[in-house]
Amino acid sequence: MTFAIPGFDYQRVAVDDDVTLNVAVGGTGRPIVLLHGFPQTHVMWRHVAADLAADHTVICPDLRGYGASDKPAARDGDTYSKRTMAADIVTLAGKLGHERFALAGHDRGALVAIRAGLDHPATITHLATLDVLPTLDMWDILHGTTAAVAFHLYLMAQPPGLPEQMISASADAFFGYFLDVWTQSPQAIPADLRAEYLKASREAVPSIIADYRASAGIDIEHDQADRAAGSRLTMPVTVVQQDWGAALGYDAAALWRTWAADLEHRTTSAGHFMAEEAPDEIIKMLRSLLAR
Amino acid sequence: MFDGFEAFDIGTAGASVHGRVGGEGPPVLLLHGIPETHRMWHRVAPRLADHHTVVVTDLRGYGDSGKPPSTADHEPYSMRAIGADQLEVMRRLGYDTFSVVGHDRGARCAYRLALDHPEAVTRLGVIDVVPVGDAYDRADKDFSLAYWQWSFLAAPEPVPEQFIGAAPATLVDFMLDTWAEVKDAFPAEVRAEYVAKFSDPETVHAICEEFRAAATLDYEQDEADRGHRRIECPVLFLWSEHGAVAKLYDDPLAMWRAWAGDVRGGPVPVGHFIPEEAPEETTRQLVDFLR
Repeated sequence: MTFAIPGFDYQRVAVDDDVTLNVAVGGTGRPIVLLHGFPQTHVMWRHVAADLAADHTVICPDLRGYGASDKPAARDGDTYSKRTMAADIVTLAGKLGHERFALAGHDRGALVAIRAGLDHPATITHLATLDVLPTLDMWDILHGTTAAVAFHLYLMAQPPGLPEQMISASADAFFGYFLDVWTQSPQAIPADLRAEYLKASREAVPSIIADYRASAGIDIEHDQADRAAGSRLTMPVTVVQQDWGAALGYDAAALWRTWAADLEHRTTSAGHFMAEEAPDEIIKMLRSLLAR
Repeated sequence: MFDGFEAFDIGTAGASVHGRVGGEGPPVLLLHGIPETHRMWHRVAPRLADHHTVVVTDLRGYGDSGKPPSTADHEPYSMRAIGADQLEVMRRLGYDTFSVVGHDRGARCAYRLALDHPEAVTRLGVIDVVPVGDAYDRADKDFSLAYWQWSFLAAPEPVPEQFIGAAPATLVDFMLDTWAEVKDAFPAEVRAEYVAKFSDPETVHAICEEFRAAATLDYEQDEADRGHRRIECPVLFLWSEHGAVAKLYDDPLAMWRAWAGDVRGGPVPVGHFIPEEAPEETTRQLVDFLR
């Protein structure tokens, strides 16, 4: 591992029969778990984690299927459902001695965080999501002529075979494209770290695809069941994202309000990798959430 | 393959168009789709040539036709521009009026030609597509998952170009094998030809531009024509009984009846590549329709 969060301890924690997560833990105080997104690892939280560790216990795992965590072969949709990935995180925190904790996620990690908030309302004290839409809403918005901006969702949703072959054949070009295009501040991800993200992603092609594929299937079913049952996020929630509502023509705050009663909705001028591009803004937002 | 047909390359205002012409009788132009070339008509064209002068071409960007540079708005790969090539080819061959039958992308070119040039197109056959305007207007998650290639190929340059360049056979084989139901629909020689043409980076870029134009200019042109222009000639619509059109639209014929007064046709019990999977049925339908 080239990159590590300075001052954090690294452990491997078994969360399932055949799944061990790589996790960085630092600081002392009330616990907060930070979940990374695509195509990255826990290292994306390095700035935010270092700050929060001054007065919190900060836990930064690599998600199942990503980074240095285990990448079990997908037996079915469940293996990489957000429900399963969220259960990993609850188990992980429990094994580290935290029955209740705050949870913040970026991108794929935010989808895991939302699912954890819905499935484990007594465990998650505060919830923050960075630059993502709930799965159900994402599919409602990104289709038709708009789908090209999210072509990777549709490619990776295809049955096993094609996406694995095509992405494996062009892994660095594929993952590098998103790292380059989604940022507003390229210097936020230096070349050596970019190379590390690419290596980590290149070595995780089947599991990354399985994570996305689950979002076109079983994750939607879980969201729909919650919507039908009227389940909502009950803890304080902060959503921060780029101004997708303006870009794609929908009311982002209203959309999130259907999922979260106690909601603070913010837009940022930073790019997608906001925890690296604008760490001070994200730190301030998280500290404000933790004070609610 | 194409015995008795004569190959040609005709320079149009916008590109050179490669094709073949054969047979005798009223002229019909046959247009292919993705990931193919005019070869896809190899089973239908010779049979149809007993009744018609049959012209088969490669669309601009595809196969051995020209691949002019694109522009930021993708206009050179709009179906309006691609259709204009085909009109010019038919005129150069001596046919001011003709029937046109298209499969997949070729069907999009064919209906755009019928809308833009009603004086030239006497009959229109469309195989396994609905108009791009309607497709996008009704698009939802299920549509975009079924038509994932629309978002993939229309994604910003150079992503799809790079992907396909690294694994052209992967994409061609996937499309042929996933969208077809009849196992022996593609002789090895024909499949190899499709892969070979898809292995040319200029072709791949042109095809991506064509899909980018579909999501922008072609869509806008359909929307502009809706309620104003109609397809004035008789239309034959064939679609795969088990394919995406049948799954996505309750009444496929109604999709075209919104655009044309005389629409006939029905489902064919094979996959997407109807002219290659059911050449006899396709020929029979076309002979009846074009009579």
